Amino acid sequence: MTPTATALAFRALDYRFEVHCPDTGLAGRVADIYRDLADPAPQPDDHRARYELALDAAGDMWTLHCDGADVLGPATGPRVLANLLWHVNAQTTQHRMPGHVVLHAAAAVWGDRAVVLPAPMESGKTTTVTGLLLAGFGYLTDEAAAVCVDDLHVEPFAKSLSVDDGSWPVLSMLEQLDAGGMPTQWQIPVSSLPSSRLAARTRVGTLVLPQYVAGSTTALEPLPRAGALMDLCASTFRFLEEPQRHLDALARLCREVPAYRLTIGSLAEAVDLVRDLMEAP
Amino acid sequence: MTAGVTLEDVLVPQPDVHVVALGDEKVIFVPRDETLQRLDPLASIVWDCLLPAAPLADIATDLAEAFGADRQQVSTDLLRLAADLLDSGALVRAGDAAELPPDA
Repeated sequence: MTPTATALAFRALDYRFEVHCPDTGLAGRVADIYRDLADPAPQPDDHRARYELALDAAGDMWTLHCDGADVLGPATGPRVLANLLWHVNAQTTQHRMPGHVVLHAAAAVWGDRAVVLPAPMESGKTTTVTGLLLAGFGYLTDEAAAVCVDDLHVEPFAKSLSVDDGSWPVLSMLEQLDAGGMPTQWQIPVSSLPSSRLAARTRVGTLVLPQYVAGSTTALEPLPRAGALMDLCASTFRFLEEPQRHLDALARLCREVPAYRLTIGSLAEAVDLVRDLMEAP
Repeated sequence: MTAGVTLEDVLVPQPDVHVVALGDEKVIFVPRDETLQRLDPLASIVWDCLLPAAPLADIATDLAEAFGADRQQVSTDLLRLAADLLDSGALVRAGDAAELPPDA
C-alpha cells in the first residue's frame, strides 16, 4: 500500500475504521501495519470509526481522536501509534459479532483445519502462532479468534503480529520486518513474512491452550472437555454479557473439537508438537 | 463454609445460575461473583436431583439406592457438596429462591 496522508480504510473482523494522518511518514507506518486489514471495497454507507492523528503547532507531539473524542495526547509518534493499535484492538474485540463467540486466542491453519490457541495475555500466543507461520501454517489471527457458532469456522483477523520484546531473542529474524518502530513491540505484517499465507475462514480442528514456562519441558497433554470449557470461558470476550449463549456455544466447540494444554519451554518443539497433532488422522 | 445445612433442607439452583452439560459433567456460571465451577459426574447427578426440589434426605436415599452405597456415607458427602454449592451461590434454600424477583 502506498503511504498517503489521506484516509486509509480498514476492516478488523466487523469493526471498520479509517485513519487520517497528515504526516506521510506516520501514515506510511499505519498503512504498513494494517496492510493485511485493508478494506478492498469500502462502501460509502458503511459505518467506519474515524481516527485522526494530528500534529501540534510545534510539529513534535501528536494527539489521537476517535470519532471526535480524545483518545490520547499530546504524545510522541511511537506512543500515539501504540495507542492507535491498542484502541483498534479493543474496539475490534468489543464490537458485537452476531452468531459468533470471540476468543482471546491466536489461530492458524494447517490443511483444511484451524488450530485455535486461547490464552490470557503473556502466555505465548503470538510467539507460538509466529512459530507456526514460519513452519508453513496459514495465518488467521494472533489476538482474537471469532468462531462462527453455526459452522465452527474461525474468521480471519489478519492483524500484524504484535511481538513483545520478551520474544525478540527467539524471533530475531523478524526484526527487519518490523513496521511499527516502537520501543518494546514489533509489528510484523504477516504478508511480509517469507512464504506467508493469509488464510480464509476455516473450521476449527483443534484447541491448544498454550502456556510459556521458562525452562520447562515442552509437552502436550489432552484436556478433559469440561476443563477446556472452563479455560475457554475465561478467554472469551464479552462472556459476562451473554453467559448462557457463550456456555452453549463453547460447550458445542468442546464436544466437537479435541483440546490440549501445551506447556512451552522450546518454541521449535512446540511447533513440532502442534504440527504432528494437525497431521494426525 | 455455610453452617447449618441439614438433611431436612431443600436446596435448589439459584435462578440466575447458568448451566451447561458436557458428557457426564457440568459447568456452571454463578453471576453473583462471576465464577465458573466444574461439577464432576457425581456432583452433576446431584445437581439434577435438586431440580424437583426435594429434601436432601430424600436425595441421599435415592442416591444410596441407585448406587448401592452406604446411606450414611452418601449423606455425609451430599451435605458437604450442598454446603459448598450453597456457599458459592450456586444453590439457595427453596424458600429464599421463591423470594427472588422474577428477573433476578
